[in-house]
Amino acid sequence: MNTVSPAAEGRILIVEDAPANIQSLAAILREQGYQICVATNGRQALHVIETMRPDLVLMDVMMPEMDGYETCRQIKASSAWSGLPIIFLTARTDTADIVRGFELGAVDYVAKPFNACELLARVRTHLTIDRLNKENARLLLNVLPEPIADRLKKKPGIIAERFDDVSVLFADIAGFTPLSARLAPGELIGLLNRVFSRFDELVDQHGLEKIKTIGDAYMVAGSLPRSQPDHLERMVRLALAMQAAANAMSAEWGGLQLRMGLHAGSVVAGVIGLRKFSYDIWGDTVNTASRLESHGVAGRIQITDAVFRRIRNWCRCEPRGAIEVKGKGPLNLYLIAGLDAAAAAEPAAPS
Amino acid sequence: MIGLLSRFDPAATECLETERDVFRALFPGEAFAAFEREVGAFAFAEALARLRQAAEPKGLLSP
Repeated sequence: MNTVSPAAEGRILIVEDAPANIQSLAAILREQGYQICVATNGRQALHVIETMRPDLVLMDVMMPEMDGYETCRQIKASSAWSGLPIIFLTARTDTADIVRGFELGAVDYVAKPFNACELLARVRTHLTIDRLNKENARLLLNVLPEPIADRLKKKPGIIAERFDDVSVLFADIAGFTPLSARLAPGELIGLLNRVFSRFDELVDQHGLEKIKTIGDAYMVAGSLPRSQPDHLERMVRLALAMQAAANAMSAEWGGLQLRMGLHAGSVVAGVIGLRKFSYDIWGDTVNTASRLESHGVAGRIQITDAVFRRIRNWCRCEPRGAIEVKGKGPLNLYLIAGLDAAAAAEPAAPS
Repeated sequence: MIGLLSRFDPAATECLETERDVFRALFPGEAFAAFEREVGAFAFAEALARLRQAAEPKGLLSP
């Protein structure tokens, strides 16, 4: 038998009704360092999967109460467990039986009596594939919102959707150019990384969607791809939290202020391109929010009249009057002064 | 043993073999034979319930 020195990682569920088979399988797998759990029929296996969350299932076909095929079908039908790798381990080796197992979603098929080395090699391979799949999914979720990633996995191609009410926030580090001249490249990247990493955490906490960073600017959207009736409240709270975070880091960098612009309206959102693609948004709402930031005030959050009318009942704002905005003409703009006492006392909406 | 049975870990069979005398003393009458049968058949949910039932009156379960 192949004796690998480092302990193999992973929890394996053995679903088998014959105690002698369980003992031998458990001994082979445990010797490699795997954690083992066991179920003696399909119904019990479904329960053990929920409680023990195994990484791989070795499943017999012929079992009392619920056979392996039906158990496999139920596991694959569950959204939580559809990706769980299942290897059938059975004496039923007719081609039709093997094909049926694959059609139900099994990743492999090992005939009894089995060779321990072959079984271990297959287990290792499928655990590795599963680990890589999970890593790929994690990386994909770094660039795409989960519903969009799911859609692309099911049907690759262009995604473009119109959203009628989305909030868009741009935040820029005021005075970044002189700061970048003062700091060494490593220090500068370190600063951006710390600031934007903190913003990433805050965006997650507020249940909003980071769109991208553009140089020293950070862009966030609310109410997409899933609709959020309270997106403007979330966005205002996020903007204030980002401001507080920048203030907290300010002394360390000899002054750090954000200039922010917030607007709401319709956008088109989607994924385009074949390589290095990302989820992005387009439209006049985006351009206006960007202009609000560039025509804004350091350390302040600038909003449009449309946003002011929707938040004025719970947010204190200062009018700036009509400001000439490039490409838009004069706009009535406001600066957020803070939440009113009642709103400030309420906890933020959960992410 | 409670941990092993709760985790559906087949090592419970070895634990029973090693600590047979301890478990025999814990179970009254025929209950030990039933417990042994259940562990041997990997019917861990049933064995766990029986073990708890026997251990609880003796104050062996941590709160």
